[in-house]
Amino acid sequence: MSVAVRARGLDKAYRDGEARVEVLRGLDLDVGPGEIVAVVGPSGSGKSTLLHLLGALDRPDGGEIAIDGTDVGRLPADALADFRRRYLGFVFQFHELLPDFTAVENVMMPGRIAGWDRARANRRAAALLAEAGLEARSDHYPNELSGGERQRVALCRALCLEPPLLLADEPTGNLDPASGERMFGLLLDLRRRHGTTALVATHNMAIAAACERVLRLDHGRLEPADGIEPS
Amino acid sequence: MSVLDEPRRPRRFELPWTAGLALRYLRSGRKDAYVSFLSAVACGGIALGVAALVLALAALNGLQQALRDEVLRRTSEVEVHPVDPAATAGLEERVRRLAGDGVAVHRQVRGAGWIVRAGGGRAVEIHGYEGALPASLPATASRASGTYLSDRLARYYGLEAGDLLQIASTRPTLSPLGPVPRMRRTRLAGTFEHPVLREGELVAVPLDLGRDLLGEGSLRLVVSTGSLDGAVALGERLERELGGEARVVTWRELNAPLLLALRLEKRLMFVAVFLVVLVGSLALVSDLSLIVANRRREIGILGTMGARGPRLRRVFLLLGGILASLGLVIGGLLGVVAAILLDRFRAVQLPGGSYLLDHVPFVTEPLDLVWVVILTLATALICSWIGASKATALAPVEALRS
Repeated sequence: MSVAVRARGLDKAYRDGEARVEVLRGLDLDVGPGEIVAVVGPSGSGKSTLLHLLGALDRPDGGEIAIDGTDVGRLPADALADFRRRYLGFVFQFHELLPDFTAVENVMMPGRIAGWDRARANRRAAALLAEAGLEARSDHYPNELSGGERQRVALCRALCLEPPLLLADEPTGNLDPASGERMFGLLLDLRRRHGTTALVATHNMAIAAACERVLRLDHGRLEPADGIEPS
Repeated sequence: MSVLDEPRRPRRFELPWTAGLALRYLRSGRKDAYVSFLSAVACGGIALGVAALVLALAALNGLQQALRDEVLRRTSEVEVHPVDPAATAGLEERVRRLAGDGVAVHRQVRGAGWIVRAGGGRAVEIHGYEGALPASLPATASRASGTYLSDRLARYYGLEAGDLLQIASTRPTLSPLGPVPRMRRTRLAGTFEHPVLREGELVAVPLDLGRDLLGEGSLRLVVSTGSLDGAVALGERLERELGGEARVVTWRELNAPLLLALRLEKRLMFVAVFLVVLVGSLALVSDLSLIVANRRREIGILGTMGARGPRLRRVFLLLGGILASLGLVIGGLLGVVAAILLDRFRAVQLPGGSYLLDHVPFVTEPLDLVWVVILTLATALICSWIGASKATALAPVEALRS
């Protein structure tokens, strides 16, 4: 299952002491169902902010976000958690795995939160870890895994409930080039197999080029990235 | 069918994820020395408070029980005061019939008077009893009908059995010279132990002498059932049946101020010692707040997975509940075991002769334990709620930015 993402006139600003820092200024975005789009831009350009807004983790100062036709901005606060569970999967720059749980337990967590019993969540997690080539590492704790393995576990966790939309914020930013390439290859593979719409924030041009479309976030707006040819 | 499409099945019991997370946090807390220290302070504080509470209540129960038994031993179970003393005979017959077999009914008069000795006298309460000396006055020798004085007063005046004693009552006799105190001479039959808790002096005289001294106005029927609960039930029945003919009072009304004072003392003691539990519970707030602060990013990540605020609060509430329960169980066991041992070995001695008892008895009452459990858990959960609420107040995006 995949969904379309539509954002219109997004504004977002932060207070930095007395100063007001405008991060997004009337940003527009359209992502088609099943499409994978890269958002590039230098650090501090607002890529993470955009993903937080699209992921219903934060509210824009102005503008609208529609995911699968649902106006996220109009959802009451207590419905946002349900919305995130049903529609979204997140991958962050740092793996953000729960340190007290094994790899398989981390991947099971979204299923458990969604109300699945242990056996069902375990079957799903084991299948995803197998797809990621991590069967042998499933009972290891995050501190017993390599950086690349942790990030692959985090990707499996993001896909546990097969979310229609995957938001990846610098998913390879903390990995060496070889691990980053392997991790992103897995992301592309799993996304294709599960038909997930994906938005990837990165400043790695090679990874951006592997996406279907590349947008540059500059001065709070998105525009097609010149000089990066999507694969 | 894929795992994702599986319908929800009725499942056997398994721990919810919130409990699993709380248990993991409890286990992993040992890795952080300061969190471990705070958890130990909270758990230990509650344990200490609960143990102190159980022990204090047990000591109070023991002392109060002894005090109550002593006082009640010297108090009539039921007293029937006739409105018309002239109708006492008929009333006595009815009371005997209503009370049934196995219940003793005696006449008694009570009033104020003096023991008169050369050169002065001493105020006493005169008890006029029927039959043998009442059991409430433990005699050192015979219990046969006669005049008995407390051993303390007898020693004071140097009196012994067979000596003559002059008793005056406050009921005057009209003489040509005007009203004069009514005085009678009687021979001392023996002495009884002076009740430890009694301040004033007491003289017990046969009913006829008592009536002669005090008149019929203070005549009453004293009913003994042998059971305090039975006495209350009988008192209610007599009250109902005798209507306006007599005023019925039971040991409960006769000792109302004392019983109220004992109840009040226990409640105040409970509140005072419970403050220790409160301090332990307050440590839970800091402990949970620290854990929440340490786990900010994890809480944010759980939020991105769709964990709602109330569920996240439940994780930390459970954590607080587990710590509090641990403290409660340890403290409860410690208190109960200590109370049993202190009571069995009479470990807390009291100076002989000065008090009612020679040691402090410890009696643990199940109802006290129930209250300790309920109030400790309630306090700990309220404190945990305060600490846990910090987790729900945390927006996922703020947690991720931290």
